[in-house]
Amino acid sequence: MSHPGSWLDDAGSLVSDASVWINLVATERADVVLRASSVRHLITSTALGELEAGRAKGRRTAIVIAELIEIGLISEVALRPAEEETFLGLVAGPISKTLDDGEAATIAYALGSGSVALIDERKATALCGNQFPSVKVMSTTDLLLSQAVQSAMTADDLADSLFRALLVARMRVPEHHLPEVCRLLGPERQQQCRSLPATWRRPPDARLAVN
Amino acid sequence: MAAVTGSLTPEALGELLREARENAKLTQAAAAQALNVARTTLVAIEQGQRRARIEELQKLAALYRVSLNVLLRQDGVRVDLRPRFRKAGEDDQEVESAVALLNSLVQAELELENLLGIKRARNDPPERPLLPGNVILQAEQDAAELRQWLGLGMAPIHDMLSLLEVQLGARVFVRQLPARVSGLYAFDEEAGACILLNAAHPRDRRTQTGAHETGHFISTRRAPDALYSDSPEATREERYANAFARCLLTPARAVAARFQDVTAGAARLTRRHIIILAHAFGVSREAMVRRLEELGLTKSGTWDWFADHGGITDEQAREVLGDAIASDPAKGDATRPVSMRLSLLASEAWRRGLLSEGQLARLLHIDRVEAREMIDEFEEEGAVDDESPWLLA
Repeated sequence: MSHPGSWLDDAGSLVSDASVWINLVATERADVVLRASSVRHLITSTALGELEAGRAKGRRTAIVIAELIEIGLISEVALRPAEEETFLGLVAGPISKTLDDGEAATIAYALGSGSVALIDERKATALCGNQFPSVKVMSTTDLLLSQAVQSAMTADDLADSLFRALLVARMRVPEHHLPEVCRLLGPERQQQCRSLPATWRRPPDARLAVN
Repeated sequence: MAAVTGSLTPEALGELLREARENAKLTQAAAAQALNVARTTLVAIEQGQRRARIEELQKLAALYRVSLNVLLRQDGVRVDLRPRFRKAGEDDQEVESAVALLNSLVQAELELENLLGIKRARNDPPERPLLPGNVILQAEQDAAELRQWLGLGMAPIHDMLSLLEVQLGARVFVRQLPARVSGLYAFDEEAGACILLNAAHPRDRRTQTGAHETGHFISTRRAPDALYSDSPEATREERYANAFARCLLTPARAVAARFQDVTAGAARLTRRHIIILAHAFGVSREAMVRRLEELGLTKSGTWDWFADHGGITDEQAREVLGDAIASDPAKGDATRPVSMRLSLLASEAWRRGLLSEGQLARLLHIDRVEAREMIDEFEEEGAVDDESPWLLA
C-alpha cells in the first residue's frame, strides 16, 4: 500500500469542487476531516453558488459549508484575472471539451494559486490532466484515507464516514483505492453501496469466481 | 478585468445574452441596473458593439439563471420553443411553466443525441393546412387519410404514444403537469414535432390529448398549441384538432360496426356497453358516449343523463374489464426525476466522458446526487461491462 499522507503534507492548500464537498458533508465528520489536515481548505464562489442551488431541493451541503466557513475551517475564494482567463477557456467551447462552471473554477483556481485540486469527477480530472499537467488532482477518498485523517479518527469512524459518503452522496472511489475502502467497510456495508462498481459489491468469494 | 475572447464573435455573444435575458423575462434596464452600468452599455453589449468582460458575463449569467458553460457553448443545439408560445399569446403561468419544461426536455434530448452522434428518424406526415369551409368535415377526411398513410385501416389505436414516437417520429414526453394542463405541441425544424402530455391525467385522456396535438401537427404544423382547461375552443384550428382527435381514435365506420356487435340484442344502452366500447377504442367513457351521440348512434344528451345518474365509475369499469385494463408505464416513468429514455442517453454520454457530472446535472435540471443515482442505475450489474455483447452495427 502507498502512503497516502505524503501528498497532503506537501500541499499548501486544497481547493475542492462541489463533487467533493457533497461527499465530505455526507460523512457527517467534515469538521474533523478539515481540522485533521493542516492545510487551508478553499472553495470557489462558483462552486459554492452551485451548492447553494441545492438548498431549494432540501440538500444540507450548502448549510453545513456556510457553518464551516463561519468558523474558519473553509475559505471562500474568488478567481483573479489570470484565473478567469483559464476559467473561460474551460467553459467556452464544445460541450464535450468543456466543464461546468464549478468544476472549471476549481481547476482554474488550483492552477493560478498552486493549490491541490480535489475533484471527484472523471471528465474534469482527465481534462485537467491533459491541459494542465502541473495541477495535482486528488479525490475525496485520497483525503479520507490520508494519514492525517486516519490519525484523527478511529477505524470505525473512518469506515462509517466512508460508508455515509458512499451511501448518501454516492461518492465515487478511484479504482486503486477500492481494495482499501472495501476492507474498511466490510462485506455487509460494501454490498449496500451502489456507487461502488458492481464487482466490488459482490461478496469476496463471488468476486473471485467472476475474476 | 479581461474581455471575452475565443471563437464567439461579439455579435454572436450579444445575441446569446439577449436571448438569455428575454428567457429570464428581464428588461434591459433591469439587467443594466444589476450590472451597475447604463442601459445603453447593455444595449451595446447585446448588439456586439462592446465586448462583455468576464466579470460582467458571470453577473449576467447568474442574473439570467444559466451557467457560463451553457451560455458560451459553441456546438450546442439551441432549440427555443418558448418565443413561439409567447408570440401565440400564451401567457397563462402554468402553461408557461409547462412550455419551459418541454423546452428543457427537447433541448436536453437533442443535445444528448448530438453528443452521441444519434440521428433520429423523422417521418413527418403530409401537411394538410386548413381550407375554407367546414373544418369538421376536413378533420374527418384528414384523419382517415392519416390512418391510411400509417396503414392502420380501421383498427383501434391502443398506444397513441408509440404511434407518435415510432411511426410519426415525434418527440413525446410524459411528465407531471398541473391538473388543468393537458398537453403542449410545438414544431421545430431541427427537433421535429414535440409533444408534452400530462402524466397526472388518465391514460385515455392522454391518448385524446395526443390525438388532438396530432391534429395540429397535420393542419397548423408551425403554430404551437397549448391545451388546457379554459383554453380557447372557438377557433377553427381548435375545432379542427378536437374533431381530428375524435375521428382518428374513433373512426365513424369502426365505431358503428363495434357498436352493433356490442349492443346486439339489447334494448337499452348500458354502462357495460359504454365501458366495453371505450376500452376497445382506448378512449374515455365520456369521449366514447359523445362520439356515439355525434354519430347518431345514441340520442343527444346521453352522457349528461349518465353524469346526472352517478356517472360511470372506474370501479364499474374494473368490474367489467377485470385484468383487461392495460398498465400505464408512462405514468410510472414520469415519477422518475429523469425519464428512462433521457437517463439512458445521459448515462451513456457520461460513460463516454463526453459530459461531466456538473454538466449532466445542469442539462437535466437535477442535482449532483440525483445525477449520481441516475448513473449508478445504469452502471448496475448487468448494465454495461466488458462481457456485454456488442450491438450489431
